[in-house]
Amino acid sequence: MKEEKEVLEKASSQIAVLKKLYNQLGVVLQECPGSITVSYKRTEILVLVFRYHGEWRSETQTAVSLLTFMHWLETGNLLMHTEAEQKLGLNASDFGLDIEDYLIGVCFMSNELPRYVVNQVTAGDYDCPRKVLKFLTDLHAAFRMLNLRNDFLRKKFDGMKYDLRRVEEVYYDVKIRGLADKAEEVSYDIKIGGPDDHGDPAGDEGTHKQS
Amino acid sequence: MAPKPHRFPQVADTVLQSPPKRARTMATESSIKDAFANYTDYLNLLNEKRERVVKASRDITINSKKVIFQVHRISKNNKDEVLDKAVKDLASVTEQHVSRLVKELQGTDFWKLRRAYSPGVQEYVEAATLCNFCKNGTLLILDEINATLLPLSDPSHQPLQINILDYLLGLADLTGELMRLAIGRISDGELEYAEKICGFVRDIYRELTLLAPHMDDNTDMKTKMDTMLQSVMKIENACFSVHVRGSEYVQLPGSSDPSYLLLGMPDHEI
Repeated sequence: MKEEKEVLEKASSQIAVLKKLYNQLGVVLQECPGSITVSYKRTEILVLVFRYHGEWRSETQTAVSLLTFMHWLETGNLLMHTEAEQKLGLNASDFGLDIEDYLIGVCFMSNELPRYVVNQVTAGDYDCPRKVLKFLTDLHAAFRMLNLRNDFLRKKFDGMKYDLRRVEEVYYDVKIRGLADKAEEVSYDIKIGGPDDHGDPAGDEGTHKQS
Repeated sequence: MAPKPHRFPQVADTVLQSPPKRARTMATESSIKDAFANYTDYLNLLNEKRERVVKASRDITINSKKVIFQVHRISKNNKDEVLDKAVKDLASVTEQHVSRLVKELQGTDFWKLRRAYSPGVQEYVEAATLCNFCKNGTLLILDEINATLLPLSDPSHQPLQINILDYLLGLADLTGELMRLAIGRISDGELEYAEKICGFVRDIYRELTLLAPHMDDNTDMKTKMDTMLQSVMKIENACFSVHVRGSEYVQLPGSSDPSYLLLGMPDHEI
């Protein structure tokens, strides 16, 4: 558990670097002569952001996928578009985070989850599949609200169901072998066990495992 | 709107039925739904707009091609009437179809949706520059073509302008049509006209060779440059053939028998 925290902290420190880099990108765009852009009552930078978007599109999608993955590891929640935008030091009024890039980034994050779950189980965390499955199911349900056309985002979303299926399979493997039940009692003790907490109200504590 | 677990009944229900002692953040779920409702609205508007732009672009492409075919009907005797009709047809493409882009491409959408309208605009540039060359013998430059588009937008709108990238790409395609025209003129016996086209295309090729490396995202342009060189060479070879075999060609007054005049020339599409 401590190791995980250290890993996450180390990774977090890179966010500041990313933020600085996006800022530099913004400065480059701002200083661009812009003589061959079309601007009409709009800021120059906005126009250039859209003209050259292709240059940083896939990189941004990767960045979003990693930020969302980290955020989930830290909090168990989905990082929202506006939160991701803030983390990268971007803002909607001039150089913003494109919503399609954000959504595609989230799909890339979902691609990581089957692999994460498999390795966590190997390392002994038998509760992980349940948590990931819940998260990915909710995420997939949310994506189903979108009315997608036949584009790249749609393709990535279609891929998400295979991620979900794989996580389900891992969840099953763990559950039918009874490993999940053991894990529930164990991790419950770890999370709740404190001086003021009275532990398991049902009174049937299983093996006590110290973290 | 509650999450819909019905797709995975065996799994999701058990997931939801996990022991109540587990603290769960229900707030997150509904905020996900709200956020995604916003994303849905955003994507719906964007995709609908994209579709409108793509449709306009397709219509521009089809009708610009018609203008180009019209120009190719040129022969020795009907130049003026053919070109007059072509110019008229081009004007109606401008008024009826290019105009549809004005509203859609305001502000940043101009660059954001470029992939959606670029093919149509390129075809339009091809048609406009071809007409202009045939009528005036000169290159219609970007500012000139943009000037013709100004009347399409009223003062409240940002005027629709063709960006430099689409212009250059359309210009590249023009050389292909000029090659066809040159071959057609040669088979009609108009060698001088063909040589004029040859010089013109060579000049364009030369200038674009210097310009292409500076274009952003120039993979399209690189392919077009290869095709362009092929076109230049086709015209040059055709002019060469006629020049060298000049004595073999007999001008039959008033008629043009292409197969006879093309004796000894290498095969090429006309």
